[in-house]
Amino acid sequence: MGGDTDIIRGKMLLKPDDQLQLTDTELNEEIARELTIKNTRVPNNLVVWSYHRREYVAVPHPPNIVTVLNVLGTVVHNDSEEAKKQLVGDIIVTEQIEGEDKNVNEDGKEEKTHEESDGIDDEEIEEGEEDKAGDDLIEFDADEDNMTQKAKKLPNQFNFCERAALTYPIPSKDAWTETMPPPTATCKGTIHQWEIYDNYKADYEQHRLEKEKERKVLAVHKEDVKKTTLHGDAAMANRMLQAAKTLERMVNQNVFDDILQDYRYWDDPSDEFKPGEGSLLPLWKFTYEKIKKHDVTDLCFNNKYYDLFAVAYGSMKFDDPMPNGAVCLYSLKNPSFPEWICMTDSPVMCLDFNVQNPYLLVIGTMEGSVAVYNVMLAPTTPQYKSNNVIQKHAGIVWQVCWAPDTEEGNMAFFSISIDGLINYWVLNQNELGVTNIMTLFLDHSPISGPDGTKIPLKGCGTCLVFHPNESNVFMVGTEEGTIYKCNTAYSSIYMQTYVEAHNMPVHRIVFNKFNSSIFASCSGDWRIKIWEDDRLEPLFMFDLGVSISDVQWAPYSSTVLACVSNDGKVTVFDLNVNKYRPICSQAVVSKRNKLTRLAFSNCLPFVIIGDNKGTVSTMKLSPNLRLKVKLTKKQAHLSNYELESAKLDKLLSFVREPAVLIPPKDNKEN
Amino acid sequence: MKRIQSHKGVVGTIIVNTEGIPIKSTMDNTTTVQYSGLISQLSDKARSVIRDLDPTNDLTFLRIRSKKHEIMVAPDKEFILIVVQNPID
Repeated sequence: MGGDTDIIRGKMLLKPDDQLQLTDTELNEEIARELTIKNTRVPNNLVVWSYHRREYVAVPHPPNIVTVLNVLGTVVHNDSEEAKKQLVGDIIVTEQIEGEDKNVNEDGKEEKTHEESDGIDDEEIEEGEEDKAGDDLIEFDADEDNMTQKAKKLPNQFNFCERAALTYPIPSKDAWTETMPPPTATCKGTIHQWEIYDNYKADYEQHRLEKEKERKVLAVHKEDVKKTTLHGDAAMANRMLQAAKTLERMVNQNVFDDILQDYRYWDDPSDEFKPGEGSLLPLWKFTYEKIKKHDVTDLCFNNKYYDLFAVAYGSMKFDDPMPNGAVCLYSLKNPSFPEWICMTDSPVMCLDFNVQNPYLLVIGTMEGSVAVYNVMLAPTTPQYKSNNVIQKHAGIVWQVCWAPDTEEGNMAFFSISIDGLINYWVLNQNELGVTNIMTLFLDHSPISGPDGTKIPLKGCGTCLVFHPNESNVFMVGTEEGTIYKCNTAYSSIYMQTYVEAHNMPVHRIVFNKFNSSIFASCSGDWRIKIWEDDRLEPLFMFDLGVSISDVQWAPYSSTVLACVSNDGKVTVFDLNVNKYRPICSQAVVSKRNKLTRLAFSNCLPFVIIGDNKGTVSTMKLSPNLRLKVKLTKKQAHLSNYELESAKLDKLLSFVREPAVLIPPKDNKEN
Repeated sequence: MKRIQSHKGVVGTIIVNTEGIPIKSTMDNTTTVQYSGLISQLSDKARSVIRDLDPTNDLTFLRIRSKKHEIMVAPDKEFILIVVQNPID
């Protein structure tokens, strides 16, 4: 009912729109309400269909009680059965306490009913009150309990101890072992492109070798391995040698730096102010300690390596000759030490490089033997050597020169000796084959020997030169001063004889490099003579007043020739500049020393000069000594060779005229 | 070696193996060790430079010109040849 009024009040407050509008009178009208003891809301005469009895059965009146809250209490009434039971049990245990305090005991009973907590419906308020009282009692009881130590009692929830037993715990145990850690390695490095490249190469090589291995029989392979290892060691030593050689050259380059600069860049500036005169600039000097007392007997440039030249060390003192000789190869790159040294048993008198095979070097010795060396090999033994008994010349071999190859393709060379023989040597498979080309018999009738036999006199050959264009024509100079023009095809006759061309031994005959009909000769009779083929009178004659040991045409000019003399001077002529006098005469060594040989470099502007103290000097030619023909506009199409030839021809045309005027005289002499 | 050493201005020659350990030397101990260690490093580096530019190329010689000396180096696979020269003499 109260609830209804509440709702009305609320409605009044909210007042919905559709609320019935009441007037004040209506509102003030009093509506009466009755209170009854009968619950009007409870239905009466409720029936339920019973399937069992097949009829409606009246359901008893529902109670008027509305259960709002149902809490089960633990209090037992003092007079109830259960309480009595408990009291009986309790008395047995707690007899002593009963007399002392009955209240307490009763309270204790109450407590026990609490704990039993049987479901007893009771009114809430009662319970609440009893609870309160109970709580106070419990506190009191607990105090009492503690003080009197009453052990036997019903279980008290506030002082309750549960008995339990713990089994002995099995202690747990950890067990472990440590294994050795697997080995680790740190690997690091920088990689370059070339390392990758190298590895690829090595890998490729290995693959290749494996393939080869499969093909080869094992036994054969083993031998190969031995060979290659040996080869590897040799290669290593070789590389070491090569490196050392290069370093030596570097060192030399530093040591001789000033000479090198001179050689490359210095040209005598004074040449500009004195046309027709030149000078020589001394450059390196080549000596070798072991052969300082020998004479330089021959010089020869290598054809392929322009900086390489061979020097023959022999003896020019025929009354007291040296017991041995040597051949050395020098390079301009290393002026301090020979590149290749070969000591020989006999003084070496002459040598020549092969043009086609620049590694072959032929030498002739004082005792009359010849030998061929391969300069690529160690200088211990010659590749070919003439037999000492049956193939020997009877005297000094004065000159050797390579000949064109034989028809079979073997190499061959000529030699001329003081015994008057000119021999032709062929390099066969293992040995030298020798053929006598010519014996130089003199024109004299044979003289009678001591036992009445007639002995033909032989000329003593001192020099030999082959015609540059005709391979079978050659010139021979003798100790008697005669020059013979011979042909290899005819061994008994001379094509031409220049009787008394010189009064002393002819030391050298050389053909002009540009005109093969012009040749020069020098001799111990102080003279240089320039001859033309088939003309018995010389075209030019120069008298130096001292024995001349060598003469050479320059390779760059048709009119320049140089000679060395016994007073230690080098004399250079340029016929185009001066027909009567040398354009340069310069002492290279002191007057007491003799110069023995001279050679022009094939392509560089210097000469090498050998003396009798075993020294080879290098001299640079000043610009005036290497004048070339100046081109005019008309001659622009001509080559240098043609120009030089023309220059010489022009010069010769001046000289020839007088010779032509007196032909009868020539005939008589013939 | 002897010949190189006999040249004018040559201060010393050293042969070093691949590990940079001097095998043969004409100089005193400390200088030799110093030269061989440093030069072998330098030549390795130099070779690396050359090879990096073109793997088919290789270093053959090395010349180092200084105020006092000229150091010439011939590096090889198995050795390094060093010559120290005093060029201004």
